[in-house]
Amino acid sequence: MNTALALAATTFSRSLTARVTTALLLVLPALMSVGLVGLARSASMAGPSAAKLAPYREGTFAQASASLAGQVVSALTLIAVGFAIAWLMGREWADRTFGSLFSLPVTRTQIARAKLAVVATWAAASVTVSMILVTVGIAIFGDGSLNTTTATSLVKVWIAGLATAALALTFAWVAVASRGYLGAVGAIVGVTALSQVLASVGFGSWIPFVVPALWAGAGGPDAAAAIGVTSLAIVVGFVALGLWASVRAFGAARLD
Amino acid sequence: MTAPHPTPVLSVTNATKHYGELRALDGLSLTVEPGEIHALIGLNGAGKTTGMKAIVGHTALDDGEVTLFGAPAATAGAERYARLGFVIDQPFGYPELTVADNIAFAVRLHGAMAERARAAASAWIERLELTRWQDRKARGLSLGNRQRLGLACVAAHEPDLLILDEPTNALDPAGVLLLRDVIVDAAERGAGVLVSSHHLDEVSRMAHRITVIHAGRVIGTLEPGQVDLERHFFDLVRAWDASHPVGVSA
Repeated sequence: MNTALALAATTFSRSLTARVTTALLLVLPALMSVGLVGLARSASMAGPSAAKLAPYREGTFAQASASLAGQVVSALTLIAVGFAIAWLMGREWADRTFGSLFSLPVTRTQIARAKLAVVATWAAASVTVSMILVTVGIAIFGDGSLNTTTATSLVKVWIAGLATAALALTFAWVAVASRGYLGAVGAIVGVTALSQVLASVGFGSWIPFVVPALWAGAGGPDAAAAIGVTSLAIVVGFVALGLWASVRAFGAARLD
Repeated sequence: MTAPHPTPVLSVTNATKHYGELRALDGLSLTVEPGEIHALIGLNGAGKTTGMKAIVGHTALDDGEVTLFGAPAATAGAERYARLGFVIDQPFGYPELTVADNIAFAVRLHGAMAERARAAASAWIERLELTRWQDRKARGLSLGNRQRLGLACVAAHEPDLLILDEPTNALDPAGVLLLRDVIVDAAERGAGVLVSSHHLDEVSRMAHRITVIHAGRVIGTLEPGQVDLERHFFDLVRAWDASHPVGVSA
């Protein structure tokens, strides 16, 4: 492993941020998508909680869980991966380690690429394991309702999760521009809230952070049908531009 | 026939830097020769740290030139950067990594392979008396031991140019002696050392050349080893201030 990758992988793997975000990504999707549907269908549910969980009683157990997973995985991935990359980039300023990365044979551009590669690899692995856990949960608790249609939905949720992870990597630019991770954390919260609002008024197909979840069916069949090549191009373009800008900004940053 | 002058390992020529109205560097020029310990002394805000930051690229100069081993610093390339080690402002050290890992990564970042880096880390842990803390995370170290760690991180790859900004700040007397040994040894094997310090007696003891920085420029030199260095230093500074009544300050 080259030095920049080894340094990024080691610092990230030993951080509290990595432990917390990994736990969030692995545990919550299965717990929420399978657990809430199971809870909604349990005989003991009554009162206001039962009314709130009523939508999760519709369709088969597997269909309801896959639909809920579509919402949970995208939102959690955006937050967890966003926090992870914001920390790994922004910590160089917060911990005042950035100054030691100048005038080295290993360039800051290489270091930035390595950080993005490490978080991208971790995110892809975490989302994949998370979806396996969701699928296993449905297989165990879904009363045999897991079929080909539901499996296809789960694959779409997995792809949407990977796309959302790629989108979340672009918060690296905010961390570099704001010289720390707090600015990026604020941006993640803001983007998450604003995306929900814009999606609810029908602009979802134009908002890159919303497109993957809508495509996976989180907004219903009509919203999923509205996601076409243009929306896909917006996502790909946004990710490419965000990654390029992040690497460039990290490589060019000074300590004036 | 005279022997040709060796190429300075570091050369700063007419460096100028403004922060808004503040002129932090005002035509600073200096060199460091191979095997030379060149000390910079000056009051707070004189321009010592800004000059060092300009050398390593932390800050971009408005004007002037920095060369490392004969090449422009900004484009010196991996081979020359591998021969440089510096501590400016904050020593190297990721809080979540152990002392041994931090030194090994610092050596690798200077171009060494992992195996050589681990060997260098072991040797420097022993040399700087950090054995007790070698498996402790950097965040758990005292300020003085963090400074020792930072020194190991920039010296363990045996650079040909060592730049140290006020390296004795948090060191105890034992740490100061270790630091002096590192600096003197580096110079004896041919490395150039640029060191800034407020401890004039320490500087006087080990430097080959002492340059006084004031208002972002060189205003004179002092003879190493002379008695009453502080008085000579203040004489220089007061004389310069008296001759520049509307002078700029860094």
